[in-house]
Amino acid sequence: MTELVKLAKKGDKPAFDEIIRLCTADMFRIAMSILNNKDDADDAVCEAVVKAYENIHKLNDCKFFKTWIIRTLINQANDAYKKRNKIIYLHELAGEPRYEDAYDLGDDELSAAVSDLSVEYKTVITLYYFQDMRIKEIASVLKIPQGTVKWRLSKAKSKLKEKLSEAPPPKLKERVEKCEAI
Amino acid sequence: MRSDIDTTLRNAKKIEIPDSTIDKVDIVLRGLKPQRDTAHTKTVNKKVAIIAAVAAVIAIMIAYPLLPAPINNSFTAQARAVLYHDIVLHSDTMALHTDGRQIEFNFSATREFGMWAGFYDGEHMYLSIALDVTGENIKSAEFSVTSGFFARQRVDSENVLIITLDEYGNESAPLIFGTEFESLGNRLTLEDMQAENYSFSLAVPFNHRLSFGGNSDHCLENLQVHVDVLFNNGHLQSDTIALDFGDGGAVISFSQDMGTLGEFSFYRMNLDEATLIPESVHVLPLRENFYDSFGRWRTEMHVWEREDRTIYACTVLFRNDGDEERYMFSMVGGNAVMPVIRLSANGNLIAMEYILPNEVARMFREYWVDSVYMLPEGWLDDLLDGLYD
Repeated sequence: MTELVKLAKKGDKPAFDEIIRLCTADMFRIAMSILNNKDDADDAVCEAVVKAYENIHKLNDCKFFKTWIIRTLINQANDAYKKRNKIIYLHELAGEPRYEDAYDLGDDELSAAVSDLSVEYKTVITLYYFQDMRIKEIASVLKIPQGTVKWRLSKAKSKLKEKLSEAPPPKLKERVEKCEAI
Repeated sequence: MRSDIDTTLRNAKKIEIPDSTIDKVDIVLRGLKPQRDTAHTKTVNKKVAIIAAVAAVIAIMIAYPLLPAPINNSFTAQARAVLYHDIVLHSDTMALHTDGRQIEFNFSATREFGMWAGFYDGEHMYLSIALDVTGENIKSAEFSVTSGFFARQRVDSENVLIITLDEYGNESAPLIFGTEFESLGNRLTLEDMQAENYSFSLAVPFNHRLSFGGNSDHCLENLQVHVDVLFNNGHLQSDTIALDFGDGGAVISFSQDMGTLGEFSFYRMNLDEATLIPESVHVLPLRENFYDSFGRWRTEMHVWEREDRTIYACTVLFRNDGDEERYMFSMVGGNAVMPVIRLSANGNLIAMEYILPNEVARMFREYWVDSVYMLPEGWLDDLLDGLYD
């Protein structure tokens, strides 16, 4: 891909088109994981593509193209999410389309739990597990310290565990009663 | 039994994306105008720039003997320790160049309210720390301390507790607690720091006897972190980062007696159900504030020694609502023992210990990890209201 990026930087339109076709699927899945809405995800991908085309000459190192375009996409998706957050779509309330439309975890409960995570946690889970990105790359994409990425991953997993636990922790009174019963 | 979350996530399959998405992207691509002209102009400009740069290099080579030593390498090192709440101590230090000239030094410590927090092993307090080196031509970097040592813990361990600060508006400063620290000695390389799944701490000598107060002596020893940077051309440069912990108090987590997570929690308990240890009653010899005040609150942390144990207790005085007491449990020989501080009519603080009922001790042992709060409902909201009013 690096060779194609070099050509695209020089203004080779077919080369740019080819790179985008190679990246479209991953871009869509990432956008979908943030936005949970196909149309919004499509829009975010398209806008990211336009921005990438306009700014590709500014890319310093061709081998970081994918990191760069994913960062552009995530910014785009986050903006869309913030704008859209004030509106609740009926089809979202109806539970579709959801996270499952991008990744199949083979575990409906876990998939729903991931889907319900806040955007910041969902994003690191998506990039780390589903896009196989390294901590360092994620830090670069999200422009946050590596430690924060690690923490978000850890926190996201603990939230998933919480969600998947069978019952919430008992209230204090219930605990005392339980102890008395022992 | 559900399979491991980590494994399930790793095994996720990517679903084919809809054709309509591909079609939309194709439409966008078709709509993009070719940039060949621009690219050509840029190429020409680039050629001019290259020729100018080559000319400049030739000129410099000719004039080289007349110039001072060239600057070849540079680095910037950074150390950051994490504080309780949203306070981060920054120590951004300097860029050094191969001629040994110090270019800039900037040290800033931010302290709004709050205190240091971390695990206390009886001698050292483990503060989460971030160390970083950025620059050009760096082959390796090594941090070292002459006092204290570096340690690390696995963030994915079940026995590591991560307390988030996002509710305080600073998510980039997680506090990580736990007792499973792996000592790394007094040296740490940049490669070590980049190891995934680990959080790094600096174990700082901590003298709890000196102070928990914001108005008295330092309880954390100020440290200097040295950084040695080896450049690709073989040059070695060094620098020192000062970590000044100031005069703030500290919240320590001590779990040696608990055998579980390091965690600090405050409790209220009906003392009529508990048994006073008569010999524990005494007037506290020291009285120092965590912070003088925040809003209508005043918090005091006290420490005293008894039977080879160090006892910590915290009391929060409600200025408007009368005196209240909060306590931290500890396990002593199978008993749940609670230190209590009372404010006497003459203004003295009386310290004492109670043995809690067995059922509470059992509950405590069983649910310690969950942290049982017995404070009045809404106390945290009240606290935060007081802070941000």
